[in-house]
Amino acid sequence: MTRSIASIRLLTLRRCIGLLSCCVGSIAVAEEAVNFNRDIRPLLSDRCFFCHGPDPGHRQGDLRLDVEQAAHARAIVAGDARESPLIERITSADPDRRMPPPESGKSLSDDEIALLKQWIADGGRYESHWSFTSPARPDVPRFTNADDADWVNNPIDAFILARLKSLGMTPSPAADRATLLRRVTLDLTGLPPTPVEVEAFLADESPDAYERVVDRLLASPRYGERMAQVWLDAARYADTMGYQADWERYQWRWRTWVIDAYNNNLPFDQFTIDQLAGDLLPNVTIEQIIATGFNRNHRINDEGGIIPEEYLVEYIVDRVDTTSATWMGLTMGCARCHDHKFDPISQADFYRMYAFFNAVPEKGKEGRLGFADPYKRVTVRGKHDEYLAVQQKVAEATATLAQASQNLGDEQLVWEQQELERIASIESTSQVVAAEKAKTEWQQILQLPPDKRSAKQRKQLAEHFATLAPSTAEERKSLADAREALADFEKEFTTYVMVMSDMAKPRPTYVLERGAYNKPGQQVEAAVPSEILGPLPDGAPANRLGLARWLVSGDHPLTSRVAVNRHWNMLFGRGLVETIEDFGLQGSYPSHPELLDWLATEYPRVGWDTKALLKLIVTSNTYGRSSVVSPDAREVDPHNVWLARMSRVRLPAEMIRDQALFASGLLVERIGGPSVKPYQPAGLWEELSFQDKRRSTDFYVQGTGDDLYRRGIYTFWKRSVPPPTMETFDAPTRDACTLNRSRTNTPLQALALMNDVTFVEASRKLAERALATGGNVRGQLDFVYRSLLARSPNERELQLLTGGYEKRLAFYVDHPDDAERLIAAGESPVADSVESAQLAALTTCVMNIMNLDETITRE
Amino acid sequence: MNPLEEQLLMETRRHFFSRTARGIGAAALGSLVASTSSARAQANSGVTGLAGLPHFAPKAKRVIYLFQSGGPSQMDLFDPKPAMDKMRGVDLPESVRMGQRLTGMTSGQAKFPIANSIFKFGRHGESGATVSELMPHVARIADKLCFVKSMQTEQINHDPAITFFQTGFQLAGRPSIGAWMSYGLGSENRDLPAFIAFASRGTGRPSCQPLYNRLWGSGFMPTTHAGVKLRAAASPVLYLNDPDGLSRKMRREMLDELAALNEQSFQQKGDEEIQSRIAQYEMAFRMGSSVPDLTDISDEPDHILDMYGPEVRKPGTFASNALLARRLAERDVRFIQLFHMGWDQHERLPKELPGQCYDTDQASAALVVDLEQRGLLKDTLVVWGGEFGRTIYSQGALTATNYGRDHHPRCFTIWMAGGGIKPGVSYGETDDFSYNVVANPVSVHDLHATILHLMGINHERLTYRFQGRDYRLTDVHGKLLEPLLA
Repeated sequence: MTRSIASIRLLTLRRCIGLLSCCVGSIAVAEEAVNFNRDIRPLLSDRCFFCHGPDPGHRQGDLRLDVEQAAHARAIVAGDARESPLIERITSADPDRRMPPPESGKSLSDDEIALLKQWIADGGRYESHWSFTSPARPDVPRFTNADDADWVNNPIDAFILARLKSLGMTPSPAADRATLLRRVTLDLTGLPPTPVEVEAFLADESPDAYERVVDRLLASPRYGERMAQVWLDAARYADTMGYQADWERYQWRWRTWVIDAYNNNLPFDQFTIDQLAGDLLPNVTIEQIIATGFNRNHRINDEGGIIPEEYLVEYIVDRVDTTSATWMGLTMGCARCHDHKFDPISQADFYRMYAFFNAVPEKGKEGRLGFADPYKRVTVRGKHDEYLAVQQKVAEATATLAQASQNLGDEQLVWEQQELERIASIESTSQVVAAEKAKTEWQQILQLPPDKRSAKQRKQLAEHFATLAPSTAEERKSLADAREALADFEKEFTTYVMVMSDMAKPRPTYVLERGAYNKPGQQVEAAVPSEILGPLPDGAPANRLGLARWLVSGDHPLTSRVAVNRHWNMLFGRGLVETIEDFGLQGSYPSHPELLDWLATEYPRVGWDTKALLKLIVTSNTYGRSSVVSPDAREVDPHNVWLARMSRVRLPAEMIRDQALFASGLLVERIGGPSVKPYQPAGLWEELSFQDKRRSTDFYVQGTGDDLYRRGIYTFWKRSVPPPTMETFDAPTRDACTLNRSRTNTPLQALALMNDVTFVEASRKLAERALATGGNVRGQLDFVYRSLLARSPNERELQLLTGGYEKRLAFYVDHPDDAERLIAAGESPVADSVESAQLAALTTCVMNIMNLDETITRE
Repeated sequence: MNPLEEQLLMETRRHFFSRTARGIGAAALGSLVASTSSARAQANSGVTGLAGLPHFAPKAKRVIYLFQSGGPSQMDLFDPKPAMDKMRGVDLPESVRMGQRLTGMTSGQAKFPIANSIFKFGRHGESGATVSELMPHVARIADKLCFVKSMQTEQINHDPAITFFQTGFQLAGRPSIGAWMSYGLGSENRDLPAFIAFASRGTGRPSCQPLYNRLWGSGFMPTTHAGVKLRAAASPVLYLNDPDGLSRKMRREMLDELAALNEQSFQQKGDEEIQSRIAQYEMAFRMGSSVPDLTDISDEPDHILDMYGPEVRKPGTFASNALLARRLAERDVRFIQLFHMGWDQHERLPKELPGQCYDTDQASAALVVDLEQRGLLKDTLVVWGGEFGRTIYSQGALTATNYGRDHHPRCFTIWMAGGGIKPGVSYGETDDFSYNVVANPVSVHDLHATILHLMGINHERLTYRFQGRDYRLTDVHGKLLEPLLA
């Protein structure tokens, strides 16, 4: 049965193979009516709009195909493909007439031409771009068949199952429970379950066992760290400035804010408003100001010869790019130099968005101090009130002193007399000229007769006396103490963070010709692209706060879709819209448009509750499918678009590290704080830097103790030389906003996992833990498997591993020095009372288990 | 071939393009298509290029790009301006500068005194190429070289200028030229990466200028295509060496166990990424021999080492890297790039420039000759040059013995050799001040288009889709430099 479905599907696949890269939804075209948004617009956009699209500056032959009326006037005869010039040109044998022209490097396949003909035959109607229309809440599919209805655990399953059934596919069986536990634990906390957690879950037969696990994971502070990892990529967070000398910056306090925000389940609308415009809120809190660091994470240039105005523009452009990609899935940056080639976004639209971010009191050339204007001195988390109290003490002591110093007139007269006498006695014993020179300002004033002193001089003298008046000594001491306490506090508990603020008078914004900083054109005011995405909400100001409110108004066509899609991508390894960074005309059409829209309406409906959204997804039956893929399934749906099964996804770089440290017991769990410098091969920074000892980023000074064992999101991120193992496992450079990491499979990854001391040491520590469980080698290996893979090894695996163990044990018994050298890897001490040869041999087995494909994969 | 293998192969062929477009695991697939009979574990490991590439028969199979970071002074090295001797100290006429922008380092100078070069020039070879006394070895092989004296860039500061040269765009984020080669053409060596980079320090100005990993990075392409930096360290490739206390023999045994464990996992789960993973571990193991085999130069005879000069015996120097570049060329590595720092002579050019030339002159010339005598020059393109040139006017005071020069984007000189480039040619002309190009300007995009052309690639047709747009190394620019083709 399945096989025959497969062969039918195969025909469909072959027919549509040319469309796969641009439009996943087209897989289904053979069975369904032509759908403009899914089937036609991607073709027109990709092959035609570059020359016949929204950008008038580049339009050829005065023909545009992005607008129905214009297309029908010139190129399309509704209902008659044969008479349509469009079809004539795309099928012409004459290379001078053929479209797209050969030199464009674009072409249309026979299948694609057939689609266009069919569409025109059906009337050639246009529809507005799907993602620019607010999502309407679709009906959830219902099933009459009891088995189907039973299978549906929540509406997500209904949409997925309905699609599978329409394709003649059936869902894979459920994943076994241990696999599911490891999956959801990795997905929600970035760490694997412990053997104890696995055992407890397997033993728990209550119907809500899984749901309770999900609740436990979402309540774990590890959740915030896991979620922050994705957000830091979008926010292009790093610990250095990013250009040439690549100075250090202190921006980690913003990272802590992100982790806290996720852990506190800050609703996504507030999460958005705080980061984009927290500083503009009434009754703003310090946390909301810190949140605005989001749009200060861009690179900042200090290179000697730069022209500041040029880079000022780059920073603002970066904010527009990052904000529009992260919240709207729009590539607005494409409209910096000219109107967008594909999306209906004009160059003026771009600069109207730019104007929102063009009021920041910043300079173009900055970045040697660890921060740049505007910035704020803030405390580590939880210390802000104390900081205020310490500052208050200073203010109080200052006021008290001022009060006490108010009526010192009589005391001052006495003092003046004494001083005059003292000075006179000095002058009589030393050279007058020298003394004259040595006289301070106040002494000179003092020697003037009181009625010759100006008001300013009287004030100066009184102020001087106030610093030494015997009657206020106590108050002065109190103030000095309060100030010292403040200085101590600031040294211990505060840092700097770059934040957003707006100048009272914003810079004027101009459309920059060709995007060049020195070619201002027409002046524009801050505005959103309301023609395609709707206006600012009523009463919203035309500033960043208005922009943020617009994004999360609930009616915005893109924000919610983009957000739920990003979460979906995190959990399934692929978005419902595959191009999670591009919801424009060149982006892919959703595989499950109704499901996307249902989720996109559900998210605001539940108050933008991110934990609730994630819980909904991970408690779906869809999420719980096995990831085993049969040859048939691979044939039918190689990329798992239709989600009959779960996808196997290689772990992100940070998770690979964190898992190894966690399972070995090395992980130091502490939320937030400055970045740390774990193991890194010697010389990587210095061989490329200025080698200036005064710059903290020119030489890598490896951390010690706990700093070696923190989670990956805390690793110091030098943009010009990123942490090498992170880079090898596809972490982005953080030069710019990244929403979708690639997942490669390279020999350098193998080398890192085999030989980076991080993993060798973690293997040894996990071996020590296994040895401490007592028992024989098989039992120890079982412990290691359960620590990393949440399952026990099978007989074949045990045979392979114990075979290796015996061989290497024999070697290490004969070569104790080699055993000692292997287990010396890393700075953590070797456990006492462990036999070296045994530990070394077991370590080699754990190293292999750490290197298993399964270990670095979420199944 | 067993049925599973066959299945895998079919799936691979069928989905090659869609996977490429997705950028996931794309690179891993091609060798399966290319060599169906090879053992499964060896398939998948190398980086394979795109179908349909090269677009036409290439002249060059590989590139060795000797990047001179900092901006070598063209009028002190290759572009003599004798007329300047009479104008020494004269303020640069505004008619020459024409209001072009200057860097923040000299834009505030009250005067722009012309600094003639203190170095002597001669005409060399039958071509009569002009080369300064600081480059005697390069002078001797002038007839093998093609000098482009009319290079231009749009950038006036190091970071954007070098980023522009490396990626075709001045801001970080796009793939480097070597990554484009890897993506388009793949690797011809199963045991080494397709793109290898080196960095060395200049003795002329040892502390300048910094470099960044992204210069050989893959930008928005998968990291598969990033250059692998080869270092003068105990472990030339990061994490290449097994941990202390673990022998190669043991590693081999461990890898066999690992492969068997992964193979079992594949049998159960059917995910082809597992097969690819096995292959990557095998390549990693092979690199354990191929890299030391590459970096161990004990088999090089003295007369070869002597050609490259005394510095060749010091690992990490430009000369040492140049020799390794030749060894990589022999191993068919696609794109080899050396970065030599220190060419940033703002203040003490007469003192610093000789050091930079000492570092690079002999070894660069030796590399060309060495490639030629092995028959490799004809299909190896060698490029020598920096990110911009330097100003004719002095930065800071002009004294009897000293001058400095600021960055200058309007004209500078690079040279190329081998791989389909016409030898014995000087192309392009600058004005008497070496300030503006007066004939045959060459843009960075033109250079890129030409390098790609020599490698058999039409620069307008090699694209990578990112965020809905088909990007090119040459953006929407670039024209082939036909007069330079052999």
